[in-house]
Amino acid sequence: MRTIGIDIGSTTTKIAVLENDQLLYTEIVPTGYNVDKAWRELLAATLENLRLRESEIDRLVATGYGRNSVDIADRRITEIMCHAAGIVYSRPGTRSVIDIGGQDSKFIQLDADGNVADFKMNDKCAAGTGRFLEVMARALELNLEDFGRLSLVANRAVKISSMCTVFAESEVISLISRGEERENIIAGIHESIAGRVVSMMGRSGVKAPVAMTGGVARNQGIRKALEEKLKLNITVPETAQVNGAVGAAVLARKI
Amino acid sequence: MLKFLTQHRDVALSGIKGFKNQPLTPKLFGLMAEYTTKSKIAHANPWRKTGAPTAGFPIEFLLAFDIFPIHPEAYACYAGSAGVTRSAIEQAESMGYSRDLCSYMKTSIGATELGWPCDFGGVPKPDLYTSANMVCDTHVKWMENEARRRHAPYFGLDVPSHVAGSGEEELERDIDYLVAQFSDLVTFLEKHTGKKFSEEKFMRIIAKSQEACRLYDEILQYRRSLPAPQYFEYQRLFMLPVAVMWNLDGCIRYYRKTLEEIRKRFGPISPAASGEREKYRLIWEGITIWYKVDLYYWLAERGARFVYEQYTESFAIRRRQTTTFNETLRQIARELLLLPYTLNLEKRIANFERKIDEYDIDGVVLHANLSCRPAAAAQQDVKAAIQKSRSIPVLILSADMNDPRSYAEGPVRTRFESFIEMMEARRAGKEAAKS
Repeated sequence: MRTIGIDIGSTTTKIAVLENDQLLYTEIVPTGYNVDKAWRELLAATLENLRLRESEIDRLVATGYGRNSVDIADRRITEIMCHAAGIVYSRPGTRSVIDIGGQDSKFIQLDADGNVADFKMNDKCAAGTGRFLEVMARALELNLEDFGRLSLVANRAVKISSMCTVFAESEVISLISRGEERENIIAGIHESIAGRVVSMMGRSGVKAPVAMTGGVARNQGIRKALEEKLKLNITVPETAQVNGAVGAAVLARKI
Repeated sequence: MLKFLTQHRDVALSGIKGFKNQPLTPKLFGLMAEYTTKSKIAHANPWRKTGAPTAGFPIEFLLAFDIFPIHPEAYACYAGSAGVTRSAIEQAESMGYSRDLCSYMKTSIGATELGWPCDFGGVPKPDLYTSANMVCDTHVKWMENEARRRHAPYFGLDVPSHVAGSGEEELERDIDYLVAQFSDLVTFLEKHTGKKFSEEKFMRIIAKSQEACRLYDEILQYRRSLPAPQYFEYQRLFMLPVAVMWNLDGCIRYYRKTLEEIRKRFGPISPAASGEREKYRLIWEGITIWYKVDLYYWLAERGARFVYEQYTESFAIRRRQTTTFNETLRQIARELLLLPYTLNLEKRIANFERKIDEYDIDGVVLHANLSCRPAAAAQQDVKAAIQKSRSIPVLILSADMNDPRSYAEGPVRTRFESFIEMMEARRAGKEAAKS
């Protein structure tokens, strides 16, 4: 059976193709302002790269905030279920998933059988999300890769008290003007995000093994800050950024 | 009203559209219109006293002095249903009321300031204000502040919290404390109406409110049936007559007729299926989201229906019949102290568990209402306890009862879709285990 999962996030659109439980292909493109165009072009490019016709795809599941725009989907399933299915596929036995995407952060608790036992999401605020990191990276004139890497050489984490993205940006700018080291500011930003995510998770619900997915999982500084706060190791699968799309393709096999 | 229609045409047109979107029967719409019309008539009548109580205040004391109850919260709910609260709230905020304050209060103050009629949240100046603080701390300062701004007298009942670890002895002591305040309340009302209190009249009114509450409560009990006769989006409006008590005789007639119709359809109250069970039977905890009736319709399309709410049940407060005056005062005090919302955490959890079993519940939604932080306190504990003992999904939904700025359509729907998927997966798992 050949299935496709498409995950349309606020920042990027992801695709995953599964064939008989084997992950054949993944790709990530910016979503941009035209959601419809983003997934259609991504799907067309994927089929072309795999030399497949649309009729050769058995099922397609869409997820992410733009899932309802995928009119050819056999089913639309929320990110929660897809991220859970994705992590069960790549890291079976995982009990807690932290997913930080462009506009939201999620915590998913899984039971021993890999079913979703509970979930929590951030509420109506970009603090603790990829968008927050983008704004901070821009304020510090860094790309996101360097932003994550630099915090690892910080000698201390500066306290960032503002939770609001706009106020935190002003706070970062005033720290720069005071001459604070850039890596210490970044470490502080990571601590601030980790604190927000951990408070959303509620410590009692976090069970090991813990995995992290979403675009922000690539940021080693965030992962380190989360590990320190949770006092647990966090694994990041290679498919972290496309985990939702992989999960959608997995669930497509079951519908 | 005519002035409002000409000066605030956009608000009026948008409000009419909002009212039309409510699941109203002609009779219930008539009752809603009757209340606001009677409020305006009572206000215009120089011989009729009006009083503004907060929700849960023992209105029967006002009725015993022929004081017409004009409810700022009920009018704010009208404005919420009409979907016109935003500009009223912004008006109140421009007057200095913080964004963090209760959106009922800000709707009420803003709409009044803008000159809107009570159908749209405005409050005609009452002759006096009264509050009781058992479900809401804001009630006290809201009424006290309005009384000061509008130069009217104010009386506040102080209801102590019956906290964890306190037993019957503490409860009796708190009842004594409240009964003493009832006496002060009567003195206050005598002073401001020029009338003498009549125990006999008070007891006649109490008998009616007890009858209204019993009928209303029996209707609520029928929601244990499969399927339930009424759902939250209707119930939240259906409770108006018993919540505001402007016409107890009419209220009794309305609920009695409704109950007769339900009895005819369902027979005796029983959880046994009389038709097709709802796909997902849910509990909603907390105040409704007034401006988003569409959310309930959207959930209904997915088979998810709310069949029990502490919020609507808490207005069936006067269920127990009493005969003597002293017994009645003590019973009213007891009811104020032991509302479902005032229960301590252990009792709240036990109450949830009981209702989940009685109403055959598949999932619980806890509204973390930004306007009502004390009511949202301990929701994580409630959620964890329910999930552990009943193994059903519990969703904590962050929104606001009357402020649409605190509601994000996309994220809310995503949360509900995930919640439904969890209930679906749980059901599939149970069915697989059976086979």
